[in-house]
Amino acid sequence: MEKQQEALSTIENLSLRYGERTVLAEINMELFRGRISALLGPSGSGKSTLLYALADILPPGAHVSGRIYRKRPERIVGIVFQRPLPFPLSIFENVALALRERGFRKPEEQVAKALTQAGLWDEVKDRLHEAAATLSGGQQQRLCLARVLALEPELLLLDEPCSSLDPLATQAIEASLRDLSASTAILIVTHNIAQAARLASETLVLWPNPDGSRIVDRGKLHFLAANSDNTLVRSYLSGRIG
Amino acid sequence: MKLRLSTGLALFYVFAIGVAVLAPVLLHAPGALRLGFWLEEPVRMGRLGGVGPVIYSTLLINALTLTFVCLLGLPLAVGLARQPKTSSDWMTRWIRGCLDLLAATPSIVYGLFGFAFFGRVLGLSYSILSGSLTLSLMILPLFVRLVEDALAALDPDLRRTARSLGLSEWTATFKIYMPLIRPALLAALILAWTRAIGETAALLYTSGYSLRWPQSVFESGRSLSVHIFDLSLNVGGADAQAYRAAAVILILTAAFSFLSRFIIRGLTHGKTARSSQHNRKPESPLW
Amino acid sequence: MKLGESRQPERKMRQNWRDRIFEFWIDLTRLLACGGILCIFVFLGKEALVFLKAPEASQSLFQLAWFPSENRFGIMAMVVGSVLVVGLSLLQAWPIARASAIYLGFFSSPRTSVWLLGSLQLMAAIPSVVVGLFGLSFLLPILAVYFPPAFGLLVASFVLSFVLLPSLIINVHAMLVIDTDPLLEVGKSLGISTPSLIRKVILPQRRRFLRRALILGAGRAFGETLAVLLVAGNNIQLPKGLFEPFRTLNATIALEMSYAQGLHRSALFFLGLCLLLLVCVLRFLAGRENA
Repeated sequence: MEKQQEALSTIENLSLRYGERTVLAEINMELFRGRISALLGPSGSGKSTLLYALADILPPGAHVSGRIYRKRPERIVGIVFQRPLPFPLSIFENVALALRERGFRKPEEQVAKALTQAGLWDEVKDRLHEAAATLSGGQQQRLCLARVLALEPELLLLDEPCSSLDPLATQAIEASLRDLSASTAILIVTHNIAQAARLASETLVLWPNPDGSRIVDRGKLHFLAANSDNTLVRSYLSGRIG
Repeated sequence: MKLRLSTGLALFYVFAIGVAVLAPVLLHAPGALRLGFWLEEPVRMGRLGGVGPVIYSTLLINALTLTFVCLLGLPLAVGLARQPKTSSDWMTRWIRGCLDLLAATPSIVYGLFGFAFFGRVLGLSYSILSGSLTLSLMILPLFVRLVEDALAALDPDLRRTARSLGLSEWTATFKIYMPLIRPALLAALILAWTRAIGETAALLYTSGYSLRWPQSVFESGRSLSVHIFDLSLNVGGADAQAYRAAAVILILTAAFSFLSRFIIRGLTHGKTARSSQHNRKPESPLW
Repeated sequence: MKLGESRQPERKMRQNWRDRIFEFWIDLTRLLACGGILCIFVFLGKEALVFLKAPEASQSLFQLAWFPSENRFGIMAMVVGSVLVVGLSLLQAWPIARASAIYLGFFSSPRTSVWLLGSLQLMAAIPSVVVGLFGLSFLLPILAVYFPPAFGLLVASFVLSFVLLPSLIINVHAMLVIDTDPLLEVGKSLGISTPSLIRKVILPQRRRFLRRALILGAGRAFGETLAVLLVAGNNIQLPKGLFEPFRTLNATIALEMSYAQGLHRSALFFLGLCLLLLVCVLRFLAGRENA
């Protein structure tokens, strides 16, 4: 199972600041193939910023130091956001758009595969050319997932992907993520401690500091909830606060 | 309730004047609906006859102006919308400041500039092209502002998604952003049109006031608003004709705002998402 | 099929030609936006230079007499005319615009407000020359019965105020209603009536925005040419009463440009430059939007 523990991305000593304000300080982490990691932390601790740094979509004006190693930098880093944001195109074109940009003239096969991976194929296979807006919220979010999967990302980052969805839609997404974790490294940001416990084999806790947020704890969620050195983190993870 | 009453009266006053201003125009609308009025040439400086060449020149000027405004305004708005409004980037701030000044510049000053620059330096003299160039420079800031606001109101996560998928700016702009801001784009176009068709001072010394049918865009042609101005100031006893020309402006504006809906729908593809979902801010005021 | 084996395009694609042209075009329009205003200043300045260099012309600048054929270019009568008509029209338009905006924002139902704002936008689309025509062919004949010849400040400022009103109301309304819903809720729960909430809290709090709207309105008023020209009478003199003909700076440019030559033409460009500078100063006074 050597392949299963292959580190697809390594972050070394990453610090990030906007102007005078340091957002992230000395972040070290590794993302492995076949593992779902959960990134937890209070609002404003820079979780989203860390994802943007990984996906290379930081806004102009961000100063980054440190290194982000990627096993295959030619692959994209997929990112799915909190709200489902389908493109104003048909269901098929939503997934096919990025493929076409990369020179796939006939992307039907890849689109079908991506939609299947996202667990959406059976629901949409007969209506591929309807507008994406006609889908329900949960379906739209899976479409956004499929859109990313079509490019076979090496890392899959999810920024609270289920916070605007009901429990059933959440379950469908989580099922897809479990299937996907075999082939990619997944990092999921969530405020839902229970979701992190269900999905993730490793939990990272990003805690705000005046001189930049740091990862203060990492490991199994239940272990951290009971044994973290930081009382606040213990309370946060065990659901006593937050 | 005193405040309610007095403020209500103020608004009523505004609408009362509005009705009073529009009433004579509407009264003369039947005369403007005669087909001959749209096709015939003016007789005796416009006292009699129709406004055929004038309508033709007006449509030429407006079509050219809107083309220039879109060609220059859309990319400019796309470029500006990438930077947040509060950005400290000096270049963006500089451009915004310049657009602000352009928006504040009086139309007669545009007329002078168009006369000196397009007319003399570029050698266009009095021509429809010179008039449209002047007009488009004048309308550009308003159009850019409206389109930029609409683009900036889109959810930033949409932009991030497009970047992370490696979509080119071209594809992201024309396949994703433009269809989503279609209503705002439409409003901006209609506003640009109404500004273009209502403008007089900027056209007086750029497109001129020839009453002939213009043979090309390098010839002078009188726009409807210039025609109204000329009829009311220089031609005696032509008030009715001036009002009919004003009615034509209203009819053309209504027709354009109706038509542009279809044009925009064609340009940005039929299928759209519920765009409120992609908007973070409520729509900003138009003016 | 294992993922590693599938055909996978590179992440950093070659930028295609469409995108390069697009980026180039964006930069070009940026240059144009900056160049545009610069060009206007340069060309107006260049054309006005002849006038500024001529000693006899600039000596007469601050006098009342404007006789281009005698090389006398006193602009003061026109400056006074412009300032007076703009001041009078704002005096009429501002209270009405503020009141109307308050009604739209706080007293009419949201549905009605949408309709009213829509009609205001329609009114804003009326060409100003049509409003001028209304004043010329409707107001002036009536008033001329009592105050012949009736051309002058009163009608001109009334016409100008109506040209300004629709967009002024829309502007003020926009600045009044931003984020006021929570304020109104809190006010209601504290038992404060809406009118006193508007007077005591909202208006004072928005004073800076209102001032900005007023200054921008003044800028637009100075820029308006033809609606005023049609009803002003256009004799170059200091207006002694509300029904005395007068002339504005803009009107002089519009009326004389068609035949002006040499020094006279240069003087008209100088007037344009003055207008431009004036409006720029007003814009500067209004301050930045996001300040």
